Amino acid sequence: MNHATTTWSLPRALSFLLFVVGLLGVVSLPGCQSYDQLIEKDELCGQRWADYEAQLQRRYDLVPNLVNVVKGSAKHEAETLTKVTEARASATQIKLTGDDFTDPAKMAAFQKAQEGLKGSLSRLLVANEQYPDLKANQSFRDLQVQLEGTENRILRSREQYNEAVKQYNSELKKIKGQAINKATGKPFKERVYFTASAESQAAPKVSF
Amino acid sequence: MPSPTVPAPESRARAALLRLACAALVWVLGLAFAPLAHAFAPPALEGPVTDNARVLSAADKARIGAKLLTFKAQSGHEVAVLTVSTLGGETVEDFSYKTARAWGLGAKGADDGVLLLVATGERKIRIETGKGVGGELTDVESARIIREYIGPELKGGRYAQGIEAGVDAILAKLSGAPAPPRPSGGGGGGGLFVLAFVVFFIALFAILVVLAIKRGGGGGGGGGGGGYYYDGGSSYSGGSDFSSGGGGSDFGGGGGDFGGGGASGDY
Repeated sequence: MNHATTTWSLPRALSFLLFVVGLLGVVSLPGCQSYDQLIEKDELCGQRWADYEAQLQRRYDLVPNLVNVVKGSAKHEAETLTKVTEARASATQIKLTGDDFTDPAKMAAFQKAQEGLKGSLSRLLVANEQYPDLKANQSFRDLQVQLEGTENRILRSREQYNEAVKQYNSELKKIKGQAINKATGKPFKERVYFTASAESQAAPKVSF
Repeated sequence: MPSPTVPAPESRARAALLRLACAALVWVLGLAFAPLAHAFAPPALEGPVTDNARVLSAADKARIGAKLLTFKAQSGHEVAVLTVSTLGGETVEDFSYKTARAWGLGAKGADDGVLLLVATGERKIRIETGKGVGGELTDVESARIIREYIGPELKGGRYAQGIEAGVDAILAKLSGAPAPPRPSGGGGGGGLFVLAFVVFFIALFAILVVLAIKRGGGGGGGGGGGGYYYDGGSSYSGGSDFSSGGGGSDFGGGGGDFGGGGASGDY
């Protein structure tokens, strides 16, 4: 009888309460850490994306200069030049914000627009191989170097974005990450990777 | 006697063992083929100059290395030289980018490292610039250094001259100094070049004369022996200088980041 019905004395209840609070603390501390980790890794993704956008901006900025230089020397490339200008316009129109990074369709559309510009630029450079005075033009050569450098930087910033996304997504997929995401009302979503397209696999080389 | 009951657990144990062995085999095979799948392992960092293609003499290596260490001490910029005999199927851009990142050239945050890579098999040159040096050493400048300073020399097989001229040009750019004169092959400004050449030879002659006089005076009794001893001394000091930087964990590993900046070229 005495054993079955345990009467709660005050000190006993207090120590039980202390135990529960302690347990909660122990459980929630790593939870908070995990939350902070998610925030941190999401932030890094954002930073990498900004780096990537800065490199895209370099590419946009090069286009008018390139068009001007080519216009002077290559009279027959009017159509190619128009295409480049159009591709630039449509590439600058799409901007990704907020939830767009978790939307595969929006990422794909963005990527397609950027690759359209890249493709038209490389076609322009290939076409220009036929104009000897253009090839000898120092400012054209410098622009070509700048463009090659920019393409390489874009490639690297895409890779670094993907690296950051990988870190973030895998943190989110961990049990701790999932639990914390549910507990806080699912503020975190998986980010979409850049996919390697056929075009980006081929090195941005100018010569045939 | 216990024969009907014993085989069951034994065979089960054997099956388990077999399964374990299979798993181990798969794991080992996976380990063995993992490098094939990833393929790239950056070469080991030996100091400011890592000459895996063996195109530099010990003296060249020590001289260029000392220059790079001095520059690092003065400006904080970490500039490394790497020669390889093959890129192992990588593009020169991938090779230099991955190596520069793995080596962590430059300080974290400042990202002020530079890697000059020469691949003798593919005859490729690349200057890889850290994220923080894009303003001082632009892609266009890097391309110009490759085209005018390094390329012509390497075409003629003069690796030490080409690499040293490239290093000089890179260091000048990074410190905001005027560009150094181009090495022999450059062409360009004819008259000025000839003049520089003449001046150089006169200076060289003068230095040789002075050295000869000094050595003659200092040598006193045994001229030949004294000279030999002196040479040994100087090469020793060069060696210790290099190892003080190369041996210490001083060079590389700073965590500087790279973002694909720089330029590539052929020779």
